[in-house]
Amino acid sequence: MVYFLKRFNSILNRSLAFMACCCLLVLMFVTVGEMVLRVFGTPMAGIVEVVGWLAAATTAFALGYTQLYKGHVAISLLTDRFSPRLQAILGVAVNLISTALFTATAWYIFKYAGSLREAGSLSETMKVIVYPWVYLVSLGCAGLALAVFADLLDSCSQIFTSSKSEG
Amino acid sequence: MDPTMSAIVGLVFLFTLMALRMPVSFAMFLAGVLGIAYMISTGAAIHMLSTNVWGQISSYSLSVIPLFVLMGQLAFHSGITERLYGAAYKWVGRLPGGLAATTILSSAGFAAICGSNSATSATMGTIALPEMERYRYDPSFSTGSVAIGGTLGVVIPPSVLLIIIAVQTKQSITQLFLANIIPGIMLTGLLLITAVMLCIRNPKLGPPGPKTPMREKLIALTGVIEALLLFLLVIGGMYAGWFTPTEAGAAGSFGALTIGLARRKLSKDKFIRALTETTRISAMVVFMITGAVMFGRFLTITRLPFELAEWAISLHLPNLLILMVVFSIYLVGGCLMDGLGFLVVTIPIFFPLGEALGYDPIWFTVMITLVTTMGAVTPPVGVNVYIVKGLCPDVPIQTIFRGVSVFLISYVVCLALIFVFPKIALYLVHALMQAY
Repeated sequence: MVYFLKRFNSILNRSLAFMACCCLLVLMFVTVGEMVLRVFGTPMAGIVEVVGWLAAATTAFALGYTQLYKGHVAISLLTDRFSPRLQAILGVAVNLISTALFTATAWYIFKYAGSLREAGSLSETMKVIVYPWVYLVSLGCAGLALAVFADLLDSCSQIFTSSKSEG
Repeated sequence: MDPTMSAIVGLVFLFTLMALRMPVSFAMFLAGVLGIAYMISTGAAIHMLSTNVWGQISSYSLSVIPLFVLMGQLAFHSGITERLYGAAYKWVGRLPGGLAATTILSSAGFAAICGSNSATSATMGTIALPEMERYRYDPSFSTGSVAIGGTLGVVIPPSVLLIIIAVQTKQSITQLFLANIIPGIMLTGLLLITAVMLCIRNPKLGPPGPKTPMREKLIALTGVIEALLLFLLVIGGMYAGWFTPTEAGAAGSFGALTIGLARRKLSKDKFIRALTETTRISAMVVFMITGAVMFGRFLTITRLPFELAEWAISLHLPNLLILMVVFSIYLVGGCLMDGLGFLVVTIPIFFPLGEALGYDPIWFTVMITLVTTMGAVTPPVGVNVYIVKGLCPDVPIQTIFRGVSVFLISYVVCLALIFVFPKIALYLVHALMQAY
């Protein structure tokens, strides 16, 4: 079960990271393309909105992948001095709280996207629907929650490993 | 509990979470949400959780971050660094400690197209350390020069750190970039002088290289052209008003991509690595800002930053003394934790204080950037030092810290000069913005 969850975590977050890379490339080309169009006197209306959405997708899709590589800056100055068992216990606490936080974040952003859909909310300049992008950000946060949950399982197994080695 | 006490409890809670190894962005996020729930209501906190995250990461002003990071990554993987190093060696290699001087000068060149100190250290270290080992440079001196050279990555624009401060304090990215040009050049000069002086005093640290004829020196300048063009495109385009900072980042990334493809140096693997590294760094930075904004909102509700500013003024102490205390906090904070994280956490607290004391926000930003950057090479959490350690595992970490410590005098001199002559930071902004 744990193995399949970790495998799913890896597949999901790597797939999301691939999409983040695609969004980043599109972001660059769209921005440069608009600058070229502007030179020829035909600027693209709503470029600010498009750039914002693409940047949001780039960031959100890479959140879980960054966690897979422990890329979110953390300070281990104090905890490095603790025993492996205590470090693992703290890891469980921190990852448990983080999992709850980002599950809640993903859920409330999902609900927010739903409210935008129901209200028929449109973007200011292009007058197009925005909620699909909000759903994508919710998916990115869910990817982060899953990555942190996988770390939680790792911390749990480390408690047992350190107990055995200390025993 | 009164609002000020709530803010203090919130800060203690935040630092406790960070000390327990919760990532900085997560800790700010959690402390901010709980703080808002306490100060206003759970409903307000939930509302912030959804709208604030979406609002921040989809904001146009933050889209500048992935594009500038991408530019640096593509420049690195396109081999621009090697050519910069070759050119710098021809010009300053003959000086005592020539390879160290080359490392510092080429770090400054790379910093002009890359906004990260860790990327600059890693990039220059990969090239410079084997060379310095070959010429039997003192390990402490060689590793120290790479680590300190890397700090130029955030001092010389474009700089991710400056973008973050600009976004947090609602300042102009263009103005902050312009303001840091002269201090960046001055700091590079001071570091070069320090390296040469050290080797004049003790030639065993690093012998001079062979003399290079002027013709070869001039030919070597072609290695600088690409980096110079990218720098001029980005900074010049922003100053001239052709681009917004986001567009400048996109143009710079596109330029770096074109150079890499034209030179046939950017393989498919390197391209993918540049993209994945960019998304990872960007996610980390943007999420940190999102967390900081959440925590900043909580602090604003408690009015702590304004109370602190009013309290500091009511003490009737000399402004200089208060400023020194603030800088000392940044220096110690930068030593104890990641400089970027510390800056993001504290900007909402100390920036209003700097303004209330009557200091120019641009000047204040330049000073804070320099002070915080020193944290990247000071123990125990000197990010650059650990990167250099990773590149040469045989050199003890304390040897690298010792090597880098002698260069810190350049930072102190630079800070003192900008403090006494604020025009160093403000001249270019005032001159160019008025001219424009």
